[in-house]
This record gives sequence, structure tokens and C-alpha cells, in this order.
Amino acid sequence: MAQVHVWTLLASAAALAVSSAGRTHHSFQATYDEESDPIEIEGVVKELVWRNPHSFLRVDVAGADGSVETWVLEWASINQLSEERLTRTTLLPGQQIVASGLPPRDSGYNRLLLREVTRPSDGWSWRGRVR
Amino acid sequence: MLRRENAPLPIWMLLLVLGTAPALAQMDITGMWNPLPRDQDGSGDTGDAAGIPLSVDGRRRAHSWSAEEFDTAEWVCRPHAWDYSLDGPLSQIRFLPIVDRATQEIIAYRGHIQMEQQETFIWLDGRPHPPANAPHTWSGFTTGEWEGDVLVTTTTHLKEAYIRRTGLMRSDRTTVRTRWRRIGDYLQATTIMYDPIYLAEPYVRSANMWVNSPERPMAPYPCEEATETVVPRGSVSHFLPGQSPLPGLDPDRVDEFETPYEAKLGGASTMLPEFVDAVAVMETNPAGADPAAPFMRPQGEEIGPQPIWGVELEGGPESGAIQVLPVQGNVFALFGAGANITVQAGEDGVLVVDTGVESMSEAVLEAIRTISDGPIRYIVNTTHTREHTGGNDLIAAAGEQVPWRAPTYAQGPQGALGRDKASVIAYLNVFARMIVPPDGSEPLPEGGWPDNTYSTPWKRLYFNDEPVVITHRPGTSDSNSVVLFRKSDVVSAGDLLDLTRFPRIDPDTGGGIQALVDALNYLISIVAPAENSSGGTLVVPGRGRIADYAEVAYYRDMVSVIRDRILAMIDSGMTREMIIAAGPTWGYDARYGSDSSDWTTDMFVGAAYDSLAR
Repeated sequence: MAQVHVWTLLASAAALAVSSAGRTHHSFQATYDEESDPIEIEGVVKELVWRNPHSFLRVDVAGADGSVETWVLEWASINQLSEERLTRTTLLPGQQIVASGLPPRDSGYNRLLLREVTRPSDGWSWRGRVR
Repeated sequence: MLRRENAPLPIWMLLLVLGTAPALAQMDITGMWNPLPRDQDGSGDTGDAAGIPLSVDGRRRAHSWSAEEFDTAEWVCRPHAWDYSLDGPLSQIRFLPIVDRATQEIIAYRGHIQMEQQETFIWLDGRPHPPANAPHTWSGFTTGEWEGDVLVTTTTHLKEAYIRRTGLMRSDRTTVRTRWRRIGDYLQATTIMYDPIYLAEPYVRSANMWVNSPERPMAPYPCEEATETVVPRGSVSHFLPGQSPLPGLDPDRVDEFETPYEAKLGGASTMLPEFVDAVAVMETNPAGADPAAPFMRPQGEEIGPQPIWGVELEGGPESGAIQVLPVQGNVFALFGAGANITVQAGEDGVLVVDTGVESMSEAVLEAIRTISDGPIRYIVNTTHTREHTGGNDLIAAAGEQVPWRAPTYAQGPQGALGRDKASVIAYLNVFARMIVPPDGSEPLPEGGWPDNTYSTPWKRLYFNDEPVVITHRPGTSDSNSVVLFRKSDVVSAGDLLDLTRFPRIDPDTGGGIQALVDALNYLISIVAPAENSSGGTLVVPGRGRIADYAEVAYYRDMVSVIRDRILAMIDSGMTREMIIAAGPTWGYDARYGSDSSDWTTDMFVGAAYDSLAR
């Protein structure tokens, strides 16, 4: 049986809503499982799709059997990445990266909400939260 | 009477001030407004709909929804509709006045919202709302009136959009009333959403407030049509009953507030104060709760449109009359003759796409003459059915072929019946079905038969200074044609797009639900949005209002989802009768369904099944 008064629920929900409100285009909470641990992948940049409302990194990841799967790493809007001094040439096709992010709720897609990406060749890295 | 010599000076000064002040109590909402944090109903669990008066179909739509929808190519640039932006993403707003030069009165406010740079106008000059068949937009069409110091606005002509970004939708039949109130440096908006499709009762949001911030710049937010996305183009993501991964829809989940599962499903009762008492005795995780339960269809359940609480769109064609609306460029749309009619007119004469039912031919001709008194040169039929071809005979007879070999030509192109009538173009199978109608009815008079058929993938004309591309795209039958007016940037889609009902698929004439999905994806490929998945190329559907990219994509989504459900049911061993009884159109019944017309929901499901089972 519910033990919590509904108005307490609503008031608490208000705090949650305010804290989670941002400028995202879609609901990350709906697309990604924020209660899961981040997943790490290593691969080769195929393309940086530099665009609004969200940029994407497409990364080719080699499996143990030699097959290659393309993963899509959701990044921030042009506005946010520009504020953080990234450009469309910060990461180029062919560069090796290590990335981690939140997995999707729908396991049918190879996608992550990017939290961290590192380029081992020169140590460049980005870490942050996509707004 | 107040006499000057007796009145104290302060009273005269007060009268002077009142006499020169603007209309009493009206405020000015001009300015740059920065949003203040606000609350939202529910537990915070994604998918929780507590406090939202979802209808049966609203709940079903939510349970089918996949977050990948936002990454479908057609929806990457779909903006937050204006009414959603007021509530959802804490977006900055700017209002600028539009002033009538003669009177110096504010006749409108031009609103701009930062999120996906959506624009709106609030018209204060008493102008009417557009006709019901005019295009719908993300911001809709808004008029406003002052009630004391409150600006009350009414918005119609909205595209379908979301109440929340978790599958809670409002339909394209929604009216939104907003009460704007300025309190010093603060601006408050209370919105009341009336949607007969996805809401059981009006939904009120009253927590939206902004603070005047003239120093803040307005950042641009462009969005170019997507190419690469996470979801392959043509794919439509959704979930079958009980499979949604959203935590708010999981009956076994216990959130930190122990919100009862039943409360999270939303509905009108969850808005009411007495629901507090009901929640107290609800089980958080009722034993055996089935996440697929919202999809079950009990006998006698009311799933049709809810009572109209708001403003019903007006301005459709009157009974027995034809309504003419300009589309763009050289192209007009005629409503009221059964299927919609598209007319292109210019110096070369008139081209008519479809001719409506026979009984309306005289009225259609009169309507065409209000557009152009030039000769009717061509008729194009997008399919064979009577509501598209019934007027062929009379309207063709009122025309005259292009004098290709003037002045000595004897016959027009393609072996036409004669030069003293318009040339009737159609895919070859249309000709065969008009000679011997599949339903066994009497054929139309020979003068209405296509005399300019094609059996190749496409046929082209150059007419009225623009290319007219006629493309064969099977869908509802094996012989649908799509007509693209390339310079006017208008597509006449025929029955491939029917915004008034489920598609009228006829497997007996080669139609099928998979073919229709393919045809709608083709339409998407030739209909280019101007920005934010809307505008640009306009579409005249077989039935319903003038449309654009968004309506085609939404319709494609709906048809694709229902196809997937029927396929899953076939795979599970269900028979035709079982599938019809299960109602795989859930979430779309109130918007497109019918239990009593000449094209019922059951007929659609049966036809879709037949086309997939063959």
C-alpha cells in the first residue's frame, strides 16, 4: 500500500523536474538508462555529425571475431560543444578513441549517451554532461 | 455635473491622466522573458502520466511509444511545439509588438521562443481563424483578446505534438487557450489544452512563469534536415503491448515515493483532489498487473473522440458547396466533392487532379472558374474510385485538348477520344477498372475514361511553365499516381494520404499495407520541409486538410506501426477474425477510426491482414 501522501509526491516531483530541466531536445531519461553503469567502447571514428539538436559520433567497433559494428554516440548541440571550444574537426575520421556513456533502454540499438571520450594518440579528452 | 470652477486641481489632473492613458487595465507583454523553474506532476519516473487526463487512446499511444522516435530522420528537427515549449524545456521567449501605423494600436504580438527558434503571432485585431482545411503548423494560429489585465489567446491549427517527451501526445485537433498575465517584471501563462483525441478532459498547466530579462541575447537554434541518425531512414520504432522499457510503465517497479502503478497510468481522475484519498489505498505493485492491459479492448468501451471542450475548427465547405483554398504557386485545392481536387492554372490553361463525385461536377466546374477561365486541358486521376473519377465525364467535356498541331490537328496525344475534351491521364490499370468497375457497378460514361494512359514508372508534362511529374506508386491499389508540381512545390497525393480515416486499402485491386508504407516513404522523399519538419513542399491529400512533410511522416508512422502489430499477430498464430477483434489500431482509433462509416476500422484491419497474408 502506498505510504506517501500524494502531495508529498507532487512536491518532490517538482524538485526533480526542476533539477532535470534543461535544454535538451528529447528526453534523455526516456532514451537512455540513467540507472545503469556506463559502457566503454574502443573504436575508430567514422564520422562526427556536427549538428543541432544533437551531434553524433559514429564509431566503428571491431568485435572479437573481426566483424565491425558502427556505434552511435550521442553528443551535445552545436551550441554546447562550441561553448566548450570544440569544433567539427576536433575529432576526425580514422582516429582511434575510447569512449564511455549510458546505454539505451532499447537494447536493439548500438548507441550511447556520451559521457567521456579520449583520443589515446595525444591524450585529448572530453568529459561532461550533454545538455 | 462637475464644473471647472468648483473642481479642485488634483481631480482635474486625475481626469487628464485617465483621458490620455491607454485602454484601462491592458498590459504590454513586449520584452525578453527568461523562464523560471517550475514543477511537473507525477513521481518523476519517466513515463509516469499521473495528473494528466489521458484518454484511452492517449494511454495506448504512450504505451506504444519508443524514445527512438526522436531519432527517426523525419523527427530529428521536429521542434517543441509552441505550447510545449511554454511548459517543457525552460525556454526563453521574446514578444515584439506589431503596431498599426494609422491607429498606433498594437494589432499583434510576434513571439519567438529560443528552443528550435519557433515563431508565433498573437493577432489582436479581430481577424478570424483560417478555414479548417488550411495547413496546420507547430505554433498554430493564435488570436487574443484582453480580459481586464489578462490576455486570453486561442490557438488552433496545431500539428500533432507532445505533452511530454515520453509518448504523451496531443492531437492535431487540439485547441489551446492561454491566459497571459504580466505582474510587474514577471509574466505568467496558464494554458488549457482541449484535445478530443488524446485527452479525456481539458488539461490545465498553471506553473509557467518568466522574468523580464532585457539584457539576455536570443541565441539562434537552426536545425537542418537530418541525414544520418541512429534510426535507419524508413524505420519506425515502437513497442508492442507490455514491452515498453519506460520505468513509469513497469508495474513491478517501486519508485522512491512508492507511487501506485495505477496512478502512473494517468487519466482524468488523477487530476482531482479526491484522488489523494484513492492513492492512499492503492497497491504500489498490484499482484498480477499486466503492462499490456491498457491495450485490451473490453466490450462497449468508448474509444471515439471525447466531447469537444474547446473550440471546434470551423470553416469547412458547406454541404453541397465546393471550397477553394490556395495551396501555393499555381496550385489550388478544392474541398467538398468527395475526394479532394487539385487545380493548377496558368497561361496554358487548367490541369485538374481528380474530379470528385459525379453529383458535384457542376459545382466543381463553377469553383474552377473562380480560379481561371482558361480551358481545362488535362485531368489526372490518382486512382480509379468514383470519389476521385466521378466528375471526369462532365469536367472533361467542359475542356479542350492542348492544340498540339494547331490549327490542323485532328487528335491529341496518346490517341485521345477527341480534341473537344480535356485529356484524361491515369495509370493504365485505372482505365481497365473504369471500363469494368471491380465492385460490379455501372461504368462511368466513356467520355470520362482515361484516354492518355501510362504504364511506365512515370509520365511528365510541362504545363503552365512548370514540370508536372506523374509517378506510379502502388499503395491503396496497384495503380495510384502521385502528381508533383515541381515549380509550385506541391504534391497531390490522392488516397496515399487520407487525413480523415485509416487508409482505404483494397487488396482486390492490388493494394496493400506494405505497398502503402513504401509509397508514403516515397512521398517523404519528394516532400521537402522548409524547416523543422514542416512547410516547404505542400501536399494535397486524398481527403483532409492541406498538409506537409509532418503529416506525411505521422501518417507513415501510423501505417507502419499497425502493419508491424498485424505481422506480429500473424506470427503468433492469430486468425483474421482474432486480429480484427484484438483491434491492432490501438492509439489511433479516436483519430482515424470509425464503427459506422463506409470504411470502418474493422474493414481496414481486415484489408491490411489480407494484403499481408497473401
